[in-house]
This record gives sequence, structure tokens and C-alpha cells, in this order.
Amino acid sequence: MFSTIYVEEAVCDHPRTRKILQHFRGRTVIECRHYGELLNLKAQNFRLQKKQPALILAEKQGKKILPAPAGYHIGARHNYYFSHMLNCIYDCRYCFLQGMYQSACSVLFVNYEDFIHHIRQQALSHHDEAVHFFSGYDGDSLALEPLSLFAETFINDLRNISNIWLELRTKSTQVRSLLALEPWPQCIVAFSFTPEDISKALEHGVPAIQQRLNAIDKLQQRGWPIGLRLDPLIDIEDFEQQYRGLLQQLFSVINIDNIHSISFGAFRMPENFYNRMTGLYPKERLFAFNMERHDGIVSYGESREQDMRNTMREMLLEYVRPSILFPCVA
Amino acid sequence: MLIIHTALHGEARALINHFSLKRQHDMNAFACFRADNIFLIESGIGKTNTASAIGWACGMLNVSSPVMLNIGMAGHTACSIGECYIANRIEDHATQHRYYPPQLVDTPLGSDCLLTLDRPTENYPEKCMVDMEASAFMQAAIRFTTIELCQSIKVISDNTLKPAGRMKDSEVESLLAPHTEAVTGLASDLGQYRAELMDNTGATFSQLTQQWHFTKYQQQQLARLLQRHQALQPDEELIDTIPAWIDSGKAFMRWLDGHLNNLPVRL
Ligand code: SF4
Repeated sequence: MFSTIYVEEAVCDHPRTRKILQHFRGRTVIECRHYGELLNLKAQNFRLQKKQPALILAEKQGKKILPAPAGYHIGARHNYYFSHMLNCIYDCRYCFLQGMYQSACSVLFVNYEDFIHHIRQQALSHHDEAVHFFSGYDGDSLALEPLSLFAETFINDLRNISNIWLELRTKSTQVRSLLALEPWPQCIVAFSFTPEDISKALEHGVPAIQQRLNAIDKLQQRGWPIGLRLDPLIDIEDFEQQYRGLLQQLFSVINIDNIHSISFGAFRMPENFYNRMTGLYPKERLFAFNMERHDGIVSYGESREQDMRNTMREMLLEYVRPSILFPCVA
Repeated sequence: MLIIHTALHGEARALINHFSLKRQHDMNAFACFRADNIFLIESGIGKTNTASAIGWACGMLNVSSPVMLNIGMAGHTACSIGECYIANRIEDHATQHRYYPPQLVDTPLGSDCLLTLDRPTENYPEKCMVDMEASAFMQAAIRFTTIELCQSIKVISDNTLKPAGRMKDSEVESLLAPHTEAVTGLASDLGQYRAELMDNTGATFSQLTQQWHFTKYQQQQLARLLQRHQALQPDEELIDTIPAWIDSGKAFMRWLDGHLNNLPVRL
């Protein structure tokens, strides 16, 4: 999975670093001072680096959690996100990470205990009100679980705090550690989907829809709440037919009583990210169709987005109650 | 395009023979050798010579995203004479600035860290190679290409048992010669990566800019329109489809934009 491993000098002797490095015996391990030395260099190419991605084990300094973007929530008033990882082992062509980072190196912050401490503090500051913490904003939450044990560690340390809700957002099938745990009703395992044709064209390296559904099936049988993230909605010629087919596929396996929430929102991107992504993949069809540029955002345009959301909502209402639907306009 | 930098003539000689390079007698600033898409520049020892040579060569050649290799000798406390490594971390001893050339290519060569010094030393640092050029090479090279395509390859010429001393060109050449095949493999793989980054709409762009006038800004728009066309209609010969009524660059761009916007969205 990773041909080269970089380790920040400060975490060389961290027990988690040592444990993770056991998975990479025989690989080249290179010490660095700070992950920014690799991530922030201008003269590098995300696309080329995706061919042989590297892993950086680092220490997260400064702020560990941040308020979620306005408009992004699944039912709570207080919403935060955190990133124990930067970048992703998958390679979705619509992913904003390509536009945000110069490098495709995946960064894994090994100081989980600092994140957990800040999450607890933030939850306590809201007393008894529900606080949602989203993971998987800057990379897939579960894709590296077998070596990172991120979910297992965070769930075990946070489940006794009554107002914490945790979302693990993923496209992976790495659910073994969750299946071994006692289900936590406040941890939503949220799977992202696009229809089969779109997934095949744009989601490189991502497990097939059926494989993800198999993982969901195991989780729901164990009693884990499931989230569905139909995000981003990609506009295509036969949009309605494609997404209708996807919903049929999803709801043939997923028990609607196990679904905590479904969010959906159209593909949109800050203009500077979009320009960088287009520069990386000038021949990518996704970027070759007409898009609107408005106030620094590239999108399908307000009215088309509205149509897409409405169509999606109507199709979803054929299966589920409206209270679990969360259109995303952020 | 592959640009090779060496400091010493002995290093250059091994590569000149291997790649059948010819001396470029019209280039006097540095000794330069060339064959087809390979250009070799010999800078002389040290960081200043290296930076000047790279800047001069890249400015003169003016190619987009070349593959650039720094190939030379290095010292090491323990490695045996003649062993060859790719530098996976290059640190400038004076500034402590580090470069991490990504290791994207499978190669028979091992990899190791490299420290670039301002002066020769016999006090080898632990666990890394030492040279006098690589950090300057990287600093200069990444102004002209992306770091994945810049690599530094070092053959161990001295160690604690056989400290650095003056070496004859023939000695240097014979240390490097056994590794020229590995260099060729690395250069060829990096060349394939480079090819992926190249835009192949250049011929159509030239044809259109000769036919009509485009301002600099319009040229940027035109380049992107041609890329979009290639993404959406890869099999269509654009020049053959231009309607006869189009009489200016501006009209052409408006027509092509409309044409592309009307295509059904299929991924
Ligand atoms: S799975 Fe998510 S984070 Fe990973 S590349 Fe795809 S969109 Fe980006």
C-alpha cells in the first residue's frame, strides 16, 4: 500500500509509531522534521505521487478539532470535525484533497490521545447537549483501520461520554475492528456512494458498491447505526435513472430502521481547488463539462443543484421518512 | 527530455559512453554533451557550480518538466566503495534545508539519505552519504520541473577505510560504469511519468494561433478549450469540424465553447 514511510523525529519512539512500523518491515523508513516539509513543497505533483503513495507518521500540533462548515450537520446544533489523517489511499477524481494538498502523501497523526482529550473537553463545554464530531473530512476514516486502529481506540475512549456522537465517514470495507466491538448507538458508520457507472469512472481504488454493502450488512446485523452519504451528487445525462438504480441497490440490503441519517449534496468546489484539479487532470471528462463559477465556487449552478437535490429527496422519500434526510448546501 | 548533471568529468565519461553523447562545441559556459533527448552538463565541484550549471542548462533548453538526474560520487562511513544509491532525503549542511525526492520508481538501486557539505570531509556523519552538490542541484532543479522527476544517484567513492582523495577520471568512470543500466531504467520510467504530464494539444494550438490572432489571455482560454475538446471528443479531428463562417479567434472560441457545452454529460 505504501512504498515509503516517513516518520517525524518527534514521534519515532511513540508506541503507536512502533506498532504501525511493524506492518512495514523491509520498507524504507525516512525521518523528517515535520510533515509540512513534504506536504507543503510547491514543486510537486499530486497525480504522479498517487502512483506510489507514501505514508507520513506525524504528531498533530495546534488545534485538533474545528467547527464543521456551516450547513453541514445531521441533526445536532453543535458540530465539529477532526482529521487524524490528511489525504486518502483512494483516488476519487472529484475529491477536494487533490486541490487542497500539493502532495499525495498520506499523513497519519499518531497522537490520538490528544485528539480524544480535546473532543472530551469540547463535549463537556456543551454540557448535556448532543455534540457531533465528524471524522473523515480529510481522508477516509476506516481505510487504514487494520494498521491505525483509529476507530477502535477512539470508540473505546469516547463511548462513556453521553453527549458525544461520532461519525466515521468511509468508502472502505475495513469494518473488522468495529465488528469486534460492542456497538455504540452514538457512532454512525457513514458510507458514501455514487451510482455504479460514476463510481467506476471516478472512484479509483474504492471497493465496489456490493463490497461496501456487504460491510454495511455485517455492521447493521451487529447493531451499528448506518449513515448514507450521497455526496457528491454528480450531474450526468441520465441522472435520475442512475441514482434511482443506486437507491434500489442500497435499500435492497440496508434495513431502513438502522439508518441514522442520509445526507446529499451536489458536487461543488472552491475555484482555486477546481483549477488545480483541472491542471492535474486536463483530460478528465468530469472537469470538461460546463460548470458555473460564482463567488469563488465552481458548481453546477444554483438552479441545477436545486433540481438535483429535489429529485434526490423525492426518490429517497419513497424509502425513508423525511426526518433523517439532510440536504447539504455547504 | 532528460537532463543529467555531473560534477566531474570522470562521472560524465561513463554516461557519455553509455548514451553515446556528443560534445556540444558551440556551448562554452560548461562542458555539454547531447544525443536526441538526453543532455548532459558537467559543472565542476560544489554547490555554486551546480546551481549555475542547472540554471544555465534549463534556461537555454527551455523544455517543460524535464527529467533531471544528478549523478556523482559520495562518501559514506560504512558503505563499500562502488555501491550505488538513490538519495531519498537530501539535506544542505549549511542551511539545514531538506528535500525528499519521492521514490516512485522500482529500481534495483538501494536508497539512502544524503548530506551536502560545503567542503570535503573525512569525518563522515553516521548513517548517510555525503557529497558537495546534491542540495544545490535540487534547489535549482525544482524551479524547472516537479520534484518527482528530480533524483540524485550516488556511487560510494570513499569511506572510513579509504578516505576521499584525488581520483583519476578513469577511476571515477569505472566506479560509475556498472550502474549505468540502472540509471537508464530509472530515467526511462521517469520519462514515462513525464509523458503523462505532457499536453498533446500543442499542434492544434499552433495551427489555430497561426490562423487567427489570440491575445495572451485568449491563448490561455484556447488551451483549456482544446483540452476540454480532447477530453470529450477524443476521436474528433477538431480542425476538420470548424464551420466555414468562423472568421476570428474570438468567434472560434465562442463556437467551440458552445459546441462542448451542448454535449451530453457522459463520464
Ligand atoms: S474516499 Fe473520500 S477522501 Fe478518499 S479520495 Fe475518495 S472522496 Fe477523497
